[in-house]
Amino acid sequence: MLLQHVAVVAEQASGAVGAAPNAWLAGGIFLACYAVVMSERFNRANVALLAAGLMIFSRILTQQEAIAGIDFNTIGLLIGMMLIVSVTQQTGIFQFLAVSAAHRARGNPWGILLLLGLVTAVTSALLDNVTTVLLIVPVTLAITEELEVSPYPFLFSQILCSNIGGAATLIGDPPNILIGSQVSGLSFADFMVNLAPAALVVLAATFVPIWLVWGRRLHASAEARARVMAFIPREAITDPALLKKCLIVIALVIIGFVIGHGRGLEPATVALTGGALLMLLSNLDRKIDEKNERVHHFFGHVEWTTIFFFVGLFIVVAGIERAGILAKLSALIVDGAGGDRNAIAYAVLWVSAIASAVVDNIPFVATMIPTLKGVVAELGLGAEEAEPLWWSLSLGACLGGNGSLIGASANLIVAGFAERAGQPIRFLTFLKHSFPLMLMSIAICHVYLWLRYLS
Amino acid sequence: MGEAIGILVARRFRSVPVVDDAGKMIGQFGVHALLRMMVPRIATERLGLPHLPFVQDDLEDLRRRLRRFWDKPVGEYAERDYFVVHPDTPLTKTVLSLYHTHDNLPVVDRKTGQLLGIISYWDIVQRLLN
Amino acid sequence: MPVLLALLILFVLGSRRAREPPVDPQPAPIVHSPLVPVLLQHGATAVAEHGDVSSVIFGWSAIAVATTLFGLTYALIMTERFNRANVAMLAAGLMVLLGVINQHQAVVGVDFNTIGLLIGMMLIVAVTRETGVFQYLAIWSAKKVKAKPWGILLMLAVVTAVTSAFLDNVTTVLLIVPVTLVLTEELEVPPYPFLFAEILFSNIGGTATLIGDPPNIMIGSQVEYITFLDFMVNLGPVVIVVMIATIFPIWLIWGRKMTASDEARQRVMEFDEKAAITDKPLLVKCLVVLGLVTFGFIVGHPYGFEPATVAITGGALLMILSNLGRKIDEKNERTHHFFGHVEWTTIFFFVGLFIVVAGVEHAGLLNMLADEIVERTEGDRAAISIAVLWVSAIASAIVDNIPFVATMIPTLKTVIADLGMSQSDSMALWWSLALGACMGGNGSLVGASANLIVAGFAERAGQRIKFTTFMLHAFPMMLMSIAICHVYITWRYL
Repeated sequence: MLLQHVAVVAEQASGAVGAAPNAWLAGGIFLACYAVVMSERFNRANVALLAAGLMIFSRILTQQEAIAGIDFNTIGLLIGMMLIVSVTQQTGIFQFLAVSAAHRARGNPWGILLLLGLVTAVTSALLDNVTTVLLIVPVTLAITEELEVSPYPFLFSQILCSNIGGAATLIGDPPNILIGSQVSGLSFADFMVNLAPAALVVLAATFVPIWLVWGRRLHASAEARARVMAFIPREAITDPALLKKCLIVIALVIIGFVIGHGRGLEPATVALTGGALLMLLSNLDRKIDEKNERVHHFFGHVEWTTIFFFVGLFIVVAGIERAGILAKLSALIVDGAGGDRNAIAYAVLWVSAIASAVVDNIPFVATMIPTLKGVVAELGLGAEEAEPLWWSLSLGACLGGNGSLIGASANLIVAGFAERAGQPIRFLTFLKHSFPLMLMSIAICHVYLWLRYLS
Repeated sequence: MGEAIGILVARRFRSVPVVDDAGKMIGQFGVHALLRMMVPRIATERLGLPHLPFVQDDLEDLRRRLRRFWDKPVGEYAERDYFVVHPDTPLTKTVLSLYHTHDNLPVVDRKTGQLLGIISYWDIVQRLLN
Repeated sequence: MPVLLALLILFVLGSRRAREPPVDPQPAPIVHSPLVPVLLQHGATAVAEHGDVSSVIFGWSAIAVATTLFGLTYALIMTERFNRANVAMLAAGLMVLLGVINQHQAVVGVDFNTIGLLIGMMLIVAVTRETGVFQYLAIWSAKKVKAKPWGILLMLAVVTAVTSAFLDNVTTVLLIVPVTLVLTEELEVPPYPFLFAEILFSNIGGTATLIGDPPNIMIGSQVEYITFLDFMVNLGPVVIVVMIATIFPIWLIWGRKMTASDEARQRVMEFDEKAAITDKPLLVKCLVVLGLVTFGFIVGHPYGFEPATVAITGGALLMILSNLGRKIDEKNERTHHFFGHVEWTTIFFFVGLFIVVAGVEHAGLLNMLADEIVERTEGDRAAISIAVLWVSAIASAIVDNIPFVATMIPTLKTVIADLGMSQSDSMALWWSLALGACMGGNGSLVGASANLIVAGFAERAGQRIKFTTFMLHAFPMMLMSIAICHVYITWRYL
């Protein structure tokens, strides 16, 4: 749908605006890039980087403009958080949380499902979703094996919870990071205040159907429950000293996020400095060779493919922006909605949700942000009035990821684990359960937006 | 070295623990270390040449390499990275270590580092059956 | 607890500054920094000039905070007690957190042309190393000289120099040294002279092109009017002279005494270099992309295509080509693996340093340094050039040349602007900096990263290279090479 728009717009731009003769070329590179990324036949970072290179070689952008198009706040924030996570995951804290949750629930399967879902949601809100499920799912599988229950409902709920939890904060999910970095004026606290209530309601509502479909029939023998109760949570923590350092740095970083805004401290500075500090702290008392080795290892844990996918996308989007395509797209949206902000907000919510269920939400959001900025400018909205548009985009893109197994990277990670554990998750089975739940969550967000901002 | 290799071959052990005069475990010597000595050193090092596709040789070349080590003390060539278990290690963890090493595990005192014995997968399986 | 220490020092310094009138700045914690005399002389005026920078927290003076951070960073890097990337990143973070510069200024301070060029070339190398072409080259050249040890040494040195000119030095030695060790083990000759020659030639060869060595990459990226070809034309000749001159002492000390048994040589002659090529189609792709990228470097400049664009696009293209015909999972896996081969520690060391340098530049320290240079040399271009050459060489032998060059580039730019030099006149300064910083790396085992990599290999292969032994041989040779450069620069440019 978006693609058709772009094609139409490219035609108009190249016809109408004589100053932008490269609109066809820029639009072509953009469309080819997105189409190849969606085909999933090539590595997406490679494709995006190559397309970015083409934007420069075809003289749509200079290297200077391309670099200016990269949002280094997003890049720095992602790298910093990934560094912090790569140190923290060595401590065993996630295993500890999961085993504690099982203890708290006294080995009762439904209780465990509920608590693990909450742990996943809270962790996803603070760290990235992929890491969260990478760490929680293995423990979940160990627990369900001991309980002799099917792991599917557990994994299903964790997928949903990770995406819902991620929607609650600025750093929880890539779409939010993008929005938070590129829309000046939205602070860490703004995200919490505006999105967390919606996320909480959606989370609560999601557990109802899960209980109806699976929860009420989950049973484990007393013997199996005793085995789970025999797990010792404390043993899961491999390095208590390191854990303390991690918790201090994470706390400092979050404080930095909250109080930094308004003092000119951007999230990227806070996250990268936190990452460097944590690496330094975790290396104290080691030999220099080992320090170098470990720092190299931590950097190796950063998802560079994701980072360079972002870099490439930013440049490609800067290219079509430069060629005047996004301005046209903004005008088209405004015209289509008759200049009605509320109609645009609802459309953004639903279109982002459906789009994110089908394709990767990162390229979608990367294109939508400058487009919506254009819309905001065209309608002459103040920062306050524009906010609902950003919340629509965020909720739609984050929660839409729950719509299918390929809607978010975390979903695929969980599916991979399930397959290796001999419990493959079928694409269609998952779709049958998750798509209605996703629609329900978007409906809730629709009501939330209406009640809070648009009525 | 010659003696240690003799023991490995005669008893078909994969590896044997190496202890100092006080009975403290200082390393492990086995077929892995032995094979390693028979190839150019850099081939087995990190970032070295893992494949050596271009080298042409015969049995005499390998013998020549092995002769260089024959009379050296085994302690010099014992591997320092090895799995151990302690008397109080949980069984599941021990079984997991056996699964990873495909080898016997030395049982070592947690405080003094004294070698107390060796545990093999046969020991565990036999106990399970009894 | 260096962080706490740093904060403490800053706090003490800052609170004192707050109490005293800003006429007597005493940057006490950086006594060992070469910048202290400059600061002591010019501090008073500079603080007065820049005292109005009010964004720094607690109202501390920007120049004092920036200078302290700068000095501490460099001191900590030199102690080699901490990972250098880590230190640089933390210092960069503090520059922003303490308010010397804001995040936007920090990002602008990072030279993404250097960063992109490094990442792109590292990606290309990560793919190319899988083909076995370097082993092929080494064995082929060994057999060309009938496996005579001195011949092998010469050939390997030349291969190292040429490869270093187009790929980075660390990668070159990472790939050449293991084959060297196999060859010397087969020949039963000591590997030390071979490794020694390879270290020297990797640094000398790297000097010849814009992409050969980090100092050149930085100069090429940050000085807009210098092209890829300029580097080749101006540095290539002197590099060849230095290479020839370096061979003589190596021959005198080791070369003439080298022998290997016929039996051992026979074994090397039986090596099959063709078997070293593991993936011929991939090799063809690599050579095509490397050719395109080099072509892009040479012709790109007039069209406004910067090296970073060329290198990164080349890297992405090569990854896509090398992944053709594979499944998507495998493609993702391999791409992830190639990105993992990029030396991120080095990249983030650069990023951190650029920001730290941007901080001191913004605070006005580099202007002072430039004024000082102009004053000391009375604005004489020849004197500045020669001073830059020798100071960079000695400094690079002792400490990492990357931070040194990162600081010198903006400083020299100011000097050039102060003296109103024309572009062609200013060239002598840049070539002095490049020659001094690159070749100075040969002065000691810690002078360049490639040296340390070779030493690491030698140690793992049971042939430890001692710091003092190496210095005894390498330092005089480094001085000789700088003397040659001195003559060359005087003759050609001054």
